[in-house]
This record gives sequence, structure tokens and C-alpha cells, in this order.
Amino acid sequence: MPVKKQQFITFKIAGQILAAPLNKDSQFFSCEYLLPLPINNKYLAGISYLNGQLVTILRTDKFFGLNWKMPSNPQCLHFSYREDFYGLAVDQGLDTISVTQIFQEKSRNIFNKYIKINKQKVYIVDVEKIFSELKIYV
Amino acid sequence: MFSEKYKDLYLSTTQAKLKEMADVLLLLEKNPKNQEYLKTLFISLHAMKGSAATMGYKGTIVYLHQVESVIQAMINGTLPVGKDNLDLIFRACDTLQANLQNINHHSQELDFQTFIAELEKILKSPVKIKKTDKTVSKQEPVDLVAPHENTEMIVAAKQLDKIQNILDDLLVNIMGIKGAAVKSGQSQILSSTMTADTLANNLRRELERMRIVPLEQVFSNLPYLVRSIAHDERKNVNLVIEHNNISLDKSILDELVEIIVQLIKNSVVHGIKSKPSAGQILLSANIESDELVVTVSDNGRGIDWSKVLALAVNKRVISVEESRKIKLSDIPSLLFHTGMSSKKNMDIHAGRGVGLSVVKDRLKKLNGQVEVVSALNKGTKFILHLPLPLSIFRSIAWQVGDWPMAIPLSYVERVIKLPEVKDVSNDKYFVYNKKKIKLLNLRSILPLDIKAPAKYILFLNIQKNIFALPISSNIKESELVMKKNPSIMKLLPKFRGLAISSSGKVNLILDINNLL
Repeated sequence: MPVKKQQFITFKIAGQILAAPLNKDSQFFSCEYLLPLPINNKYLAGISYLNGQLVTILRTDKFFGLNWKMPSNPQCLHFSYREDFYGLAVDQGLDTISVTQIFQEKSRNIFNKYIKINKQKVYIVDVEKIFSELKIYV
Repeated sequence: MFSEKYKDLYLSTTQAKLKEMADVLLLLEKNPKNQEYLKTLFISLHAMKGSAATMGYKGTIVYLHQVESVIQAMINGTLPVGKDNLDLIFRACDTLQANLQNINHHSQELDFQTFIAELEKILKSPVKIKKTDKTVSKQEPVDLVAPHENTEMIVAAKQLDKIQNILDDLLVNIMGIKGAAVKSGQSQILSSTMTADTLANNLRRELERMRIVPLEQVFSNLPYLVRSIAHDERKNVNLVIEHNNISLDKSILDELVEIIVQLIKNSVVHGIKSKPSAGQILLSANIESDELVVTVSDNGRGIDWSKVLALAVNKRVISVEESRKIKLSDIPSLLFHTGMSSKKNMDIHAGRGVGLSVVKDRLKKLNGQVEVVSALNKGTKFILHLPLPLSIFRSIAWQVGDWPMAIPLSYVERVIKLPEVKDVSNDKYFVYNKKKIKLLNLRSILPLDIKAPAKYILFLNIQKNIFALPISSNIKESELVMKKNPSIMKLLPKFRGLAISSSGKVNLILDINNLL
């Protein structure tokens, strides 16, 4: 029986490796200029401009509760959601990976799905959860 | 399924065909003897069937085939083109529209079984045709699927967005080179860059023109909608449209039309009275200064403001105390409160309230505003004000804390540099040439208390009144490229949007009206 493979793109932040589902817009870019937004929202880093697009940069660390100091020009993982473009601020972009199995950790409330790379747990960034936290598509 | 990749294309082409079908149906209803209208309907249905077949939407194909058969029967004279049968085709249009929505949102066709059964019943039932009915002309069934010339091509809006983004990037780069050439005094490079700049600007204008849709085209769907709602409500409603040859960006029109539809629905259902003489709804659009003004007015029963106020208290939108102190001019805004939008409100004498909070929310997305003018038994008028979209514009730009701000130069009447920096943060007026000019303050839109002394004063012309805006940093004139607002800007409703400077920096564009 054929096994369905799923592709992920991995990155490093605050010493931890995380994975995001790979799609046609996935790419890492260096955020040269970031406009902070005049709003109190811990998940938002600001807005950047990349290849004619406005990209909303999100604080990956805040979603995962990581202790991280975001550099002024962070690396970002670009992805699109609905009709908008987003970037997840990270330390370093890593490889793409194909897996056949996704695991779930019952003790975690959010971002509880993970894949295994070299027997290590790599938690998956759940884009839907991110936008339910941000509440901009309500 | 053929491919999800072509779904957008399928939706847009079928939507256009459905629109064509609805237009022809309205004409056929007025002139049921016209065989050409029937043939056009058949051809539209056949084209839609072809598109559905390409996508593999089997249920849609079967349903369209049945609708085609009904039209064929009308053409052949075996089915009369009467009111009941035309209503059936109108309903088929609605069903096909619902099917498109379902495919769009859930990638799934409707279950057509009931709808197909309804059509089969009509086709199988023996129908007596009046001999005097001239629509029943005996003629040979014609081959209706004639090839037709089509010089138009449908391009997905997303594709245009991509091209526009690339072009914007090109423009930003050209602006950067232009700036560098001016700085280094290289006139030859400057001259070439100016030419490149003109060409890129022309290209952008052409691209913008491709996205622009005449209001007439969008509004042409509305008579069908009004007919359908009025029919259900058993009312007689006449819709008068004054589009004044205005065209707008399609993305704005799509939002705007949703707002207008909601207001028209409200007018037909709750505003217009049930009486034999036709009620009238007037929809008009005009450009005034730099905004689009759309008016939806009816000659219905009008709004009983005392009942609106009572309902607001009843719904705890405002307290009894507040209701006693409220100014007359503030009562209309209660209509748009979420708490007022429930089905129970339908018993307000004038019946407004349902769905109006949705209108306000959608207008917010377009940075628009709405006002209501109504008196009991004298009808209701909703006036929508929408800022016209900016594209490439010259601006005055400055820095406030971490935020680069800009304001379109068209608002700026004059800039004065103060002889010495001055703290005006607690002043209400700025005195210039012995005139008191009202001071605006950015404190209302920024999450910080700006106490920095002012270096410059911008005199802004807002709705024919002059206001003074103090600026604490250096200012510069800058050419900016306005970008489509990302959804996150919904959290910042006090800004008009974001624009890019020649250095690729993102600037916050102030919405002047929010400063007042």
C-alpha cells in the first residue's frame, strides 16, 4: 500500500528545530527593513517589503513560548495564507524533509504535532493555530 | 476532478456567463416572444456545461443539461414562456450561483437531485399551449451551439496582483536609482532613469486600467436581485441606477457591491411598503473631491428614531441615562451597532437594523464611512463615503518614534518651519497670521504620548477646512508607491494603509479623517 509523504521545511530558533509545512511560497529571506506596527500584539514583529509584496512578520518565538531575542534583521520563512504574505522570524533556515508519519503529543495544548528527525522530536508550526491566535481573519 | 488549479478560471468564466444569463432573463421577462433571447440563454447554458465538463463537475453538467432542455422546449414551443416557467429559470440561476459559491468555498458541487427533479417534472408534465401564443412558432430545432467569436481573455486577479507586485518593485528600484543619480549629479543616468520611470509608470497605469471595472457593469446585476427579493416579498419595486460612468478597481468594487446589496435588501424588505404602486430605490454614485459617494435611498416608510432609541436601551446598547442625554445626530450611529443587529429588530417600525453592522464592518475595510438620513414616512437615505485608492503619489514624510509616517501631498496646503522648536502638545489651536487654526494630534492614533516639541507645522486642507499638524522630526517630500493593505491592517483602522519609498522602506499612511 502506498504511503503518503508530507513535506516540511525546517528551521532553527532559540536553539530549537521546528518544522513548517512546505508549500509553493516557502522560502527563507533576510528581512532587511522591518516596520514595527503601532499596536500592542506580542505575535507581530512588523511589516517588511519583499519583491513587491508586503510581508507581515510574525514572532515564531512568542507562539512557541521560546526565550529569544529577535535580531534587527532576522531570517524569515516566507509563506502565504489566504491572500496575504507572511514571514516567520527564525534564526536560521534548514532543510526540507519528507516524512510519512506525524505524531501527536497529548500533554501539549497547542503546536502538539511533531515529526521525527534522527529520532528527535521536531514540532510543527500549525498555520491555522497561528491565525486563530492572531484573530485577523475572524 | 480535472484540476483545482483551474478552479478560479472556471469560477470567473461561469460567473460571467451567469451574469449574461440573468441579464437576458430580465429582458425575456419583459419580452417573452423574443426567440433570440431564448437562443442566447441556450448558448450561455451550453458554454457553462462545457466548462463544468472540463472541470469534471458531473452534477452541474446534469443540472445544466436539464435547464438546457427546458429552454429547448421553450424554443420548440412545447413549453410556454410564461411567468411560472421564467420563475423556474430565475431559480435555476440562483441554484447555479449557490453552486458556484459552494465550489468556491468548499470545492464541492451542490447536491442537485431535488433541483433536477423539479425540472424533470416540468418537462414531463403535459402542457396546453394556447394557439394564440405566438411564442409557439413551429420551427425546426436549430443548432444553437454556434461558434462565437471571442476576442476577450479572462486573467485571474491573482495573476494581475503578481505582475503588479513585480512592477511595484521595479518602480521602487527606479526611484532609488533616480535618487542616487540626483545625488551624484549624473545627468545622463538621471535622464535615462526618468525615461524608465515614465515607462514603468505608464505600464502600471495600464495594469491599473485592466483591473478597473465600470460601476455600470457591477450595478447591472442589481435589478435582478431587486426583482428576486421584491418577488419573494410580494412587493413592487423599481430600482433606478445612476452610475455616472464611474469605474473603480475591481477589488474595491467587490466589497462595495456587497455593502450595496445589503442596503438594497434592507430597503426592499423593510423600507418599501407593501402597496400596489411601485416603491422606488435610487442608487447613485458620484465622485466628490477625492472620495466616491454612493447613495442608496428609498421612498419607503422611513425610520422611527424614537423606536431605534428605545430598542437600543432595550438591547443594552446604551443605558437609559445615556438615551436621555444622546444628541439627535448621534442616534443614527446606533443602527450600526452589533447589538442592534438581530432578527428581533425586524419589528422596528421602519425595520432597519438587520445586517447594518455588517455594512459598517465592510466599509471599515475600505476606510469608508456611512451616514443615514431618514424621517418617518419620508424614506431613508444611506450615504456611503469611500476614499479613492492611491497608487503612486507624492507625499510629505516624517518620523514619529519608530514609525515612518506619510501624508499625501494633495492634503498639504502649506508647511512652515517654526522659528524655534515649540511644545504644542497641550494646545488646542495654533495661531498663524492672527488666525486660530485647530491643532491635530497623533496621540489619538499612536500608542504613545507624543510630547516632543514641534519643528514644523503642516497646514492640511480637510474637507475645505484648514487644520494644523505639528511635526517633531525633519520632513521630506517623497514619492511613494501605495500597496494593497495586508489583512493585518484591519487591526490598525486609523491608518489608510502602507506605501513603499524608493529605499524599499514601508511607510504608514495617515488617514486624515481619523485625526479630526
